Amino acid sequence: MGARKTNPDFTNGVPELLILQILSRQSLHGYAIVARIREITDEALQFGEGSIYPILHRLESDGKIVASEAEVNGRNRMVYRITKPGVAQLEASIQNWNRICSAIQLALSGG
Amino acid sequence: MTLDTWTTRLSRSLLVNGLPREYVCRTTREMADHLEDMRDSEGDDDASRRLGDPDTLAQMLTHGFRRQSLFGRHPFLTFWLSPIPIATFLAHIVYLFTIELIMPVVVRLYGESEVAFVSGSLDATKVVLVLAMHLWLQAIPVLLTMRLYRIIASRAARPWTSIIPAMILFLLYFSMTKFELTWPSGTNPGNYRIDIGTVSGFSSQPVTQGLQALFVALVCILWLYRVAGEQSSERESAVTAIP
Repeated sequence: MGARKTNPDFTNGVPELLILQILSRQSLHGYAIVARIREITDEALQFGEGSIYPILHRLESDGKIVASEAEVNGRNRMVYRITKPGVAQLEASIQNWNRICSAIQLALSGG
Repeated sequence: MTLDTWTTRLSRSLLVNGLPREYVCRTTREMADHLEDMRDSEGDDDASRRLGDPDTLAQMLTHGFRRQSLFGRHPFLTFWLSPIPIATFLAHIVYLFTIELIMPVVVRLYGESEVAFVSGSLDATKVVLVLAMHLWLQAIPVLLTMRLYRIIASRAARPWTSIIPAMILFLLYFSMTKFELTWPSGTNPGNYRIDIGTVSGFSSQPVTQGLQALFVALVCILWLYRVAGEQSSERESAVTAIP
């Protein structure tokens, strides 16, 4: 089977929103974040799992999350944790997302 | 694709793209952990199917890393526009440093006052000293600037070859360092003059200016040859050292 392609819908601020939402509940490592996204979206979002890492690294360099080594199931893993600016961005992103959803819903229902 | 092949291809692509070794190590280790988790909890060990194509992922990681620094975001400004002012600044600093620190020592060794050394008659020893100082003034700013741009290229996650346009600009600039030497003859005691960054040198003395340009070019080529060798062996050792 060939490599999975990144879903374009998954590149427009949605992954950041999902990652920040997941990390706001619990600090997790990359694989656990991907598993959690699959779980909470009922596998509706298809993407190359590797594409989560550039996003995590960008959020980290922007100060929205921090990474630190921690032992998970007997192994040292890079665990990500949300920061205060990350929480602020999450709140703003949720508001923005709700506004877009309402606008689309309004358009679909005939204005 | 197996875990080993996949991680080797990823790390090689990241290193070729010019990303720092520490970042490549960290990212490759995260990916290896991800694949190990995948295998342990789902029995899936097809790295390529789950994580995507390593070269495409390397491009995404490189793009993300470059966005983090000003140099990485503006390669044209960094590697094409900034070299000349930076090189000019460094050349003047080296020039002043040389004159302020080296000249008094040379004068003391030679047994003349500074004025006498500069305006006095030339002899073979003085010519050798002046020539050595001139070559120093040409080589050191070039080497310093290239070293600086190599560090910048590394910070910006650009391949070391990104500095080649800058190097060509330095070459043009430093080859314009004008050196005039008037040999003593008859009643003329002889004289010398060093100007940096002049454009009239090539038309007034094409042979000596050409030789100077050749010297700067030789310094650049030797430096590039050394860096290319270093990069190649560093990349090979990094790929084998990464888990």
